[in-house]
Amino acid sequence: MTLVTAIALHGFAHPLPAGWELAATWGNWRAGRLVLADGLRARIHLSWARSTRTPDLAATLARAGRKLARAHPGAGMWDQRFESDRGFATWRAHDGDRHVAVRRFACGVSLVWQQVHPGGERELETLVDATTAVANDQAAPWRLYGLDLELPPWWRLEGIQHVAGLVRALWCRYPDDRVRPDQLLVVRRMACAHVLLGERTLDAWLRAHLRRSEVATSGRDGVVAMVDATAPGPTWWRRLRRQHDRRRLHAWIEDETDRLVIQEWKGSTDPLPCLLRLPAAALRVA
Amino acid sequence: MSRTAQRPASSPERAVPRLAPDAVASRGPDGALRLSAPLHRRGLHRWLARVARSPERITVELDALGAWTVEHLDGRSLESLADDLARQFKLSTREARVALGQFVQSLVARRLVRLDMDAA
Repeated sequence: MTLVTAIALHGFAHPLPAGWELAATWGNWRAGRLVLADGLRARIHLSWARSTRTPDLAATLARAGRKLARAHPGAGMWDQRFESDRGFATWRAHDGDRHVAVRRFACGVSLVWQQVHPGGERELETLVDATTAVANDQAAPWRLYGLDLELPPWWRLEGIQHVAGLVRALWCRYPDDRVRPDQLLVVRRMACAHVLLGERTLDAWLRAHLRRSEVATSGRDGVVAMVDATAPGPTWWRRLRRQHDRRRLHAWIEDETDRLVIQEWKGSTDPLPCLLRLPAAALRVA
Repeated sequence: MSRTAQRPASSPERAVPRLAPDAVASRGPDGALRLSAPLHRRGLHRWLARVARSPERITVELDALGAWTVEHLDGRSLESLADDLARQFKLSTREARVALGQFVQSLVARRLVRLDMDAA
């Protein structure tokens, strides 16, 4: 099995075999699940949970196996084994063997893999080995649906929309696991950049999307257009306290795929720098 | 006892989208492509529309992608059109198929385009 790309979300990075993709995802930083598919066929259900307690690997593995057996009546446990931080089990059914794996990372993340479709144990072991995870207070990579970012600690994904030609994701920053966020980030990646821009330059397009009440200063850093915008607070209370709404927008074009990426930061403290990670050769000056 | 011949289920991807016979494509003064077709109203609905002076034709204005798609409704299948759309606008095949499917569906709902399933 050739591992070509990886997805990264909610503090862990998982390899993807050639031809596989992320089909669906639910949940948040603390817990959730996702489905990896090969074309139209679901291959693996992966769930994650963060906890300070050390999980019981055997119980977790048995629970995951029972879930698998409920979905595939007649499946019975054939074999199981445990290594230091992980465990594997094989469930045998009339149409083949499905495997279940669990791994506990030192940073407190537990991942559970379930093969939805019969597959090889070695295949699953490769995926389990190659998966990495980060702790709550560490910077985390985010790589899904064409987005590729590395965010500083405490940024949590709150929602993502993926439709044909558009990916839009919202992150909030909860410093030291506070309840209320102090900054937010929206990243949009849109197809057909040349159609969207038309005859306009990237800077002009970005300025055209500012709100009427905003006062903006724009700049350019190579291929990245940047706008700093400030608007009076939306309520009288905020205005009396001289609180302004600050936004910083960065935009660039990925020329190879003709995508327009807009990074919008909103907050009152230090703004996020440009999150562009692509090599300059893949970008176009517009 | 009568037996009806079962037709093989045709794949929607191989269906051929065509402009409806009474649909008209025209360019506006701003260069945007517009598609229009007469609205077929009957009975009370027709009378109410006349009293309310509702337009007798439905008109939609297309953006660059929509215009490109309509201009390429030349007898090729949805699948082939999606492949060309993906190549032209640097989309992934899946993105192109989903976007094209939704777009054609919306035009079919407005009776501006019909899907020729027999060609599938």
